[in-house]
This record gives sequence, structure tokens and C-alpha cells, in this order.
Amino acid sequence: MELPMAAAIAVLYATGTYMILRPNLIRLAMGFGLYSNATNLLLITIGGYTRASGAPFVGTDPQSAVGLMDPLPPDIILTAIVISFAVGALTLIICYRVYLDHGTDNPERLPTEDEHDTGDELPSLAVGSALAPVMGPGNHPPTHGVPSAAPTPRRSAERRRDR
Amino acid sequence: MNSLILPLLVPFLTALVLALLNGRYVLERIVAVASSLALTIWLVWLLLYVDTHGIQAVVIGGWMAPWGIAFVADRLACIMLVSSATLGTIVQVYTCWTVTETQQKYFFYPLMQITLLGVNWAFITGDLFNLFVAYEVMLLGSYGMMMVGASRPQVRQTLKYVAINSIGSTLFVVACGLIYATVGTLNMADLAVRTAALTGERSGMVTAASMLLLVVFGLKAATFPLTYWLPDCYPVVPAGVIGYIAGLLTKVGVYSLLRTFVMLFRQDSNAFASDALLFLSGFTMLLGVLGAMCQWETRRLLSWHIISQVGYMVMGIGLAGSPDPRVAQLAVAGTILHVVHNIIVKSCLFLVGGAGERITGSQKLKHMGGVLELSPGLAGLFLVAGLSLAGMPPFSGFLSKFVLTFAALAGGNYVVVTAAILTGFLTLYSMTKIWLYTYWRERCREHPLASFRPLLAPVATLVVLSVLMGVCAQPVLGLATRAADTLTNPAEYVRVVLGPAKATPKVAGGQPPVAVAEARETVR
Repeated sequence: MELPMAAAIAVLYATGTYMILRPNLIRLAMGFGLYSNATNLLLITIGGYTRASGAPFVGTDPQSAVGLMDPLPPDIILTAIVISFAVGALTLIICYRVYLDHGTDNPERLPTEDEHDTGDELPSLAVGSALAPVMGPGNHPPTHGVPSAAPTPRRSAERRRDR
Repeated sequence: MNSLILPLLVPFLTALVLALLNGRYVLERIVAVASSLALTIWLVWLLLYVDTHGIQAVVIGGWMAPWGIAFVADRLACIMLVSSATLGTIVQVYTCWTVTETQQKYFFYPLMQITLLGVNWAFITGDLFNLFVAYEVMLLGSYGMMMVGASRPQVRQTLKYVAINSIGSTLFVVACGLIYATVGTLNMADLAVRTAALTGERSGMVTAASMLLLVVFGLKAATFPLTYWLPDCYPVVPAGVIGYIAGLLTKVGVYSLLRTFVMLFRQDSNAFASDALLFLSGFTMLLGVLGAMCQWETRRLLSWHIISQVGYMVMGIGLAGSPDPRVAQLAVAGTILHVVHNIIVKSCLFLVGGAGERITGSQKLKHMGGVLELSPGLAGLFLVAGLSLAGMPPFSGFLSKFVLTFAALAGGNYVVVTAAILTGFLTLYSMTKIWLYTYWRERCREHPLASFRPLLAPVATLVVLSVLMGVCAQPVLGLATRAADTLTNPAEYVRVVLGPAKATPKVAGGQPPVAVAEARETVR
């Protein structure tokens, strides 16, 4: 049982790594899903699961525990599945939000510097305005999925290029 | 001692209540601050109690210790809990004035409490897999805090933060699995007993798993090759919030490194781990401080300084592997002091920076100026905090750096000491740069002059704490040394968690529980 499991784990990790390194946000999220599955398989293998192993809780006599499955790895797996589910959902939402904000799902096309780094050209909000302390650096109002004016004209062309 | 679950229960229940109070802005702030303040006071009592009466532990659900999940409050955990809760309270007071109602509507305070819950959990747990769960709770809270308000740079940088931490989490689970497969337990006390007795092939396997954990915790703490996410992610966090995130989250990684590499992985073949840690620490210090030197924005500059300061702590952990027990004890005590000092001073600098940004309306050094004439109080607070970070006496930074340098010299690690002292000088240079540009020179343009005076009180509290820590060096160092004792010689920890029978080395490395032993056989 160990060899096929090891092979499956290796394939999952390799595929996951490949997906994460692709310049595509959805593939990034899927890569993490593969990672978590591979990890869970690894934990099952560590638990020494075989067809012959029985359910963990039978009787009070220590001798009756012989031949039973170790209950801890499945326990860890359950917890890890729940957590990776939550983090995976969050990752997908953030990926979608980044796509809405910037009109691309290619992380290499995202701006590398923060927008307020180029504050030299945009002093109207930052200086002298009453809004400045509230809307200061890093506190821009939420855009609610409306792409700003700048990336919109290039958006369809960019998406064609991404494919 | 059942009340040990309070550091988890209080923030959790507060988070629920705050989520229900969403929209009642003032009430929400009062509840959040009051609950954190109450917890802080209780934790200070717990620290004093643990210091006089010894380690306290509780096993959740009443299962016996190696199987049930233990919560252990030793001196180190209590010191960290007190620091975290104090900082949490102060930052929440500060955010009453800096977080906008829009941001608060997006569940800012519940997320803050969830992060506090995760951090407290990471400090108090006595189980390696439970530590993983605590990390995830903490990270989910901090993802939310980073994104609160959801501006474009925030979402973009949070994606980076989520991605790098997802990889870290995967490795953490793998390391837990490998350690369980090799040693047969994940309870920290049990691990400390069994790894010390490991030999041969299994010992090597645990060393491999511990290197995975080094990557995981190094990622959280932003040590040398895994630093580059930090200076990108932190500057986008709203002012005030960054004081908490920057002050505490990397320190949780450092705490875990302390706990695992000093207390858990004590097998002989793990000596090279301390060499690796020393090697990494030198590069972390220099990289962080050199990165800071070429920055011209306060938040980015201070973010790079987080990295260089983490280098000092990792240096202490590396020195703990020294064969001389006195050096090891001194190094661990110095690390604990430096962690506490850094939690206080680093957040203080970020909070001062936030107030400076409100006055000048910019976070670029070249646009700031004249803060000294506008607010001499703020300038004074920055000066104290900056000098403390650079390690000037009589502030807290001097004490911790002195202890660490002394330990390194006593251990004969001259190369690392050179890097540490060089880093100290360059830190002073960076602080001078901020001082010259933001505070000392004349105003170079119009400033919006937003109200900032209420912000001075929380900042001043942190500065007073830093000065107190430096002036009352003797009792503080004594407490840190006693905390270090527990880590370098975990006999008391083991006795409290597992009962008196297990503490003697005779039982060390004994048979794993029957089911586990059976599982080991089937695996082979």
C-alpha cells in the first residue's frame, strides 16, 4: 500500500507546485488544494492504514487495541481538511477580487509598486485636503468591484494575451 | 488550573459579541478595549502566580496528557501572553481614532479579537498540532485585518501573504505527520522527553522534520531567505493595525522557534540546527538593516527593521545550542528579553509613524518635515523609541542586546557578534535618517495637520514600558533567566504536564502507546 500512496503523493505535490508557479491566480488556488490533498494522503500513509485495521475505539483492555488503526492521523486530517477548506475559500475570493480590481488574473501583470508610491503625481488627495487623514495611504475607499478607469481599455487585450 | 482556557475564551466570546454589535461604533470600541484590558490584568496576575508557584497546566477534556491536548502556562508563555495582551489593548485604544467607520463596519474589531485569540492560543498550547491550528486561527484573523477596507493595494498584497502562508501551513502539517510517525507523540512535554533519548536513524528523521519546522517558523518570523514578503505586505495595512501586526505576528514565529529548537529537539544530531540558525541570523540582521537603509518611506523602512531585529532573536536561539549551559541559558534569556523589547518598541515606532503620517499627510520621508515644531511630544516619543531600537542605554534595547552580545562572546561566536554590532550601528543610522527628515528639518510643504493628540497616550504608554524595562533591568533579567531555565531544562514542564513518573530520564524514549506501536509495525 505504501508504494502507490507515495507515488500518488509525489504526483500531487509535483502538480501542485507546477500549478502554483503558473502565472494564473485560479491555478494558484487550485495548486494549494492539491497540496492539501497530498498532505492528507501523506498523513493517511503515516497512520498505517490497511484493510485489516479495525476501528480505533473498542473495549477497555489494552490488549484489545492490538490491530486497530491509530486514531490520531485521521483526527489531524479532519482538522487539516476543515482549515484548508476555509483558507481555500478565502484564497478564491481574494483571487476574484484582485481580478475585479485589476482586470487580469495574471499576477505578473499586477502593479508591483503600491499605488500611493507614485504619490508625486497625485498630490490632490494627499495634500491640504480635508479627506487626507481619513483616506490616507493604504486607506483608499473600497472599490466594490468597479475596475478603475486606467486598466479598463486594456482589459480585453490583456485577457487575450494571457490565454 | 481550568482558568487557563480564559486567554482563548475571552477573545472568542468578545469577537462573537462584537460581531453582533456591528454598526454601533462607540459601543463596539468600548467592549473591545474593556475585554482586552480585563484579560491583560488577569494575565499579569497569572504571570506572577506562575513565577511563584511554578508551571500550571490543564488537559482539555480530562484525557490523560500525552493523548489529550494540554494547555501549559510556563513563565515564557506567560511573558508572551502578557506582552501580546498589553499590546492588543494599547493598539485597540489607538485604533479608536485611526480606524474609519467604514473599516469598522467590515468587522475590524471582531477580526482583531480573533487574531488575539490565535496568538494567545499559540503561546499557551502544549501540543504541536494544536500549535498549527492556533497559527491558522491567527492567520485567518490577520488576513482579515490586513484587508479591512479592501483597497486595491491591500487586497493585492494580502493575496501574496495568503499564498506564502498557505505553503507554510502545508509544510507544518507534513512536519507534524513526520514527527508523529517517528516519535509517536505530538505533546510537547512528551516530545521533549523522547527526542532527548533518540539515537541513530530516528534521530536523523526528527532532525529532518525539525528542518521543515525551521522553514515554517522562519517564514512566519521572516528570517533570511524567506523575508521578502514582509516589506511588501506590511506597509499597506491601515495605520494602527500595523502596530499590532508588525509588533506581534513575527514574534509568534520566534516564540515557536524558541519552543521547538530549545525545548523539543534536543537529540544529539540536532547540533547542526544551531549552526544553521546562527548562519541565518547573521544574514537576516544584515539584510534587514541594509534593506532599511535604502528606503524612503517610514512604514517600509520600519518593516525592513523588523527583519533585522528578528535576526537578533534567531541568533539567541542558535546560541542556545552551545555546549556550555551558562551560555545557553544567557542566550535564551536574551532572546526572551529581545522579543518583549521588540514587541513594545517596534509597535511603538509604527504607532508614532502613524501619528506622523496624520500630521504630514504622507509617509514619504522627503515629504515630511517639521514635526518637531508642530508636536514636540511626538518627536520626543519617537526619539526614545528609536534610540531604544538602536540599543542605546538606558532603554530596553540596550539590555537585551547587551545580554545577547555577552552570550555570543562567551560562546566564542565572533562573526555573528560582528554582524550584530554592525547592525546596531546601521539601525542608529536609519533612526537618525527618520529623525532628520521627519522631525528636525523645517516644513517643506503644507501639512493637513489632522488631529493626533489622542494618539499620544497609547504611544506614551509603550514608551514608558520600554524605559521601565531598561531601568528595572535586574528583576526583568531575573524573570527572563527563570523562563530560560524552563526551556533549557524542561524537567519541571514535563513533570507538570505528564505527571511525576515520566519526568525521570529512565522512562525517556519508552514504548509508544499500544495502538501507535501497532501502527508503526504495519507501516513497516
